[in-house]
Amino acid sequence: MRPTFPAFLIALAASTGFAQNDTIAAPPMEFGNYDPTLSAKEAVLANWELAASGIRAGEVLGRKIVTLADDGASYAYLVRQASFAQETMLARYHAAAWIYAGEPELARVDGATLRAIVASTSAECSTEGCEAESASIRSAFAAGAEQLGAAAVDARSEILERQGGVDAALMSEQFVMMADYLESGDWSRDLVLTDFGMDVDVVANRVVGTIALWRNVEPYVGLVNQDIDNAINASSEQLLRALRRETRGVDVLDPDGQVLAELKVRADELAAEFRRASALFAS
Amino acid sequence: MRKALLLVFFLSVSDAQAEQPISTTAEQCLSCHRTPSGAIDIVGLEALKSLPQEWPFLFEDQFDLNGDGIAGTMRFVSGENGPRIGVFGRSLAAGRFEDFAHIAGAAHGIEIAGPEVMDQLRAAFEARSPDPAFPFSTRAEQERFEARGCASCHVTETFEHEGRHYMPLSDFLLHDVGDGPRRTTPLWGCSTCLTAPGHAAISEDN
Repeated sequence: MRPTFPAFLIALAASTGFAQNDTIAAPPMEFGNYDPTLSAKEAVLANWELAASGIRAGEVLGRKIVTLADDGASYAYLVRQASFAQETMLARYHAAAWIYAGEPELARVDGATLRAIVASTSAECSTEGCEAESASIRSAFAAGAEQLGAAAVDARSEILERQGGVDAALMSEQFVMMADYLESGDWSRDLVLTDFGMDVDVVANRVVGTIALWRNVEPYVGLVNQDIDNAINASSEQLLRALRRETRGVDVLDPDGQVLAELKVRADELAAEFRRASALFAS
Repeated sequence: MRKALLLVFFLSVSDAQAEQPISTTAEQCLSCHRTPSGAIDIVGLEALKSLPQEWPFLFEDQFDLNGDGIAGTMRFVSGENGPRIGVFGRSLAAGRFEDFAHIAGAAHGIEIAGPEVMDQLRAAFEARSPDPAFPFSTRAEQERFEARGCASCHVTETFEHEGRHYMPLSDFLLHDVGDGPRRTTPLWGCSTCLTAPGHAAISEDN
C-alpha cells in the first residue's frame, strides 16, 4: 500500500520538523483492508505497552509457578514449568530494559533475584522428595513475580502519563530513548547471569527488545523521510547480523572483548539513525 | 438471491439459535460465516475471552534469535483504552470481538450502529461459535504432531476457561511464510486439519 500523504506536507515536515503540538496523520487505509494502522500516539504507547505487558507476563508466569508449588506439584513437573516460565520472565524483562534509559527511577528486578530464579531451576535434586529444591523454586519465583509486578506497574504508569501527550513530542521522545539506550552501552552492563552462561541471552534480549520498537513507529518515519527509514532498517539488520555472528557459541562476554566492541559499533550506528528520526519530529 | 440464500441458512440453524432475534446487521455479518450446520466458521469465540494476555509473549521470537528458522511477531492494535495485543483476524487486526467487528464491517460496508447492535452481534456470533473439542485423542497423536515440528507455531500449550482446558493450537503470532505476515491459524476446531491426507500431522502412516 503506497501512502498518499500530501507531498507538500511531507516536504514541510522534512524541512522544518514537526511542531511539538502537531498531530501526525496516519497512513491512509484502503477500502476492504483488514489491517488497521495505529495512530502515531498509539504506536508510541504500543511500545510502552509491549514493555509493560511483557514484564507483567513475567509476573503472571512467576505467580503460576508459586501456585503450582503450593498445590504440591511433583518436582519434575514444577522444574519443567519453572524453566519454561523463566525463559519468558527473563527475556521479557530484559527486552524492556530500554525504558530505564529515560526513566531510571522505575522499579527494577534486582540482580540477586534474577540469579536466584535461574539457580533454582538449575539445581540438582538432592533432598527427600526434592522438597528443598521445590521450596527454593517457590521462593525465587515469588520474589521475582513480586518485583516484576512492581516494575510492570511503574511501566504502565508511564503509559498513562503519556496519554495526554502530543504525537510529535511522543514520537521524538521515543527515538531519543532508543538512541540513548543503545549509545549508553547499558545493554552490555550488569550481566548478573554470567555464572549460568547467559550473558549472550541477556544482551540479545536487551538489544532486540529495543530494535523491536522500530516496527510500530516505522510507518511514520517512512511517511516523512524514506531515506532515514531505509537507513534504520539497514542499521538494524547490521546489528542483528552482528549479534548472530559474533555471539555464536559464546556464553560469557568479556566487557573489553572484541564481541562487545563489534556490537557497540553497530549499536552506535543504529543509535545515530534513531537520532535523525527523532529530529524529524522535534520542534 | 442473497436474501433467499440467507433464508435457507437461517432455517438450517438449531431451534434454540433460531429462537433468538437477530438484527439485520448481525444477519449481514453471519451470512458470510455460516456453515451448513447452522453454526459459524469461527470456533471458540467464548473460550477466546479467556486466552491469557501473556499467551503470545510465551512464544514470540521476532528475529529468530533461537535459530530454529521460525520468526514470529505479536501485534499491537488500536483498542478502546489504548493499544492492545491483537488476537482476532488473519492479520491479528484486533484485540476484541467488537474492534474486529468494526474493522470487518468497514471493509464490507456494514455499519454497526451503536452498542446495542454490537451486543446483539456479539451474542449472535457467540451463540453459533462451536466450542472447540480437545484436538488430540491420544497422547501419541500429540507427540507425533510435536515431533513433526507442527507445534513450533501450532503450539500445544493449554489454557483454562470455566474449568475446561483448551488447546487452540496457535501461538497467536504473525509469521511470514512468503505471502506476507499471517497469524498462525488456530486449529482447535479443525480435526481434518490434523488428519486429512496432505495435512496428516498425526496419522501414523505419514
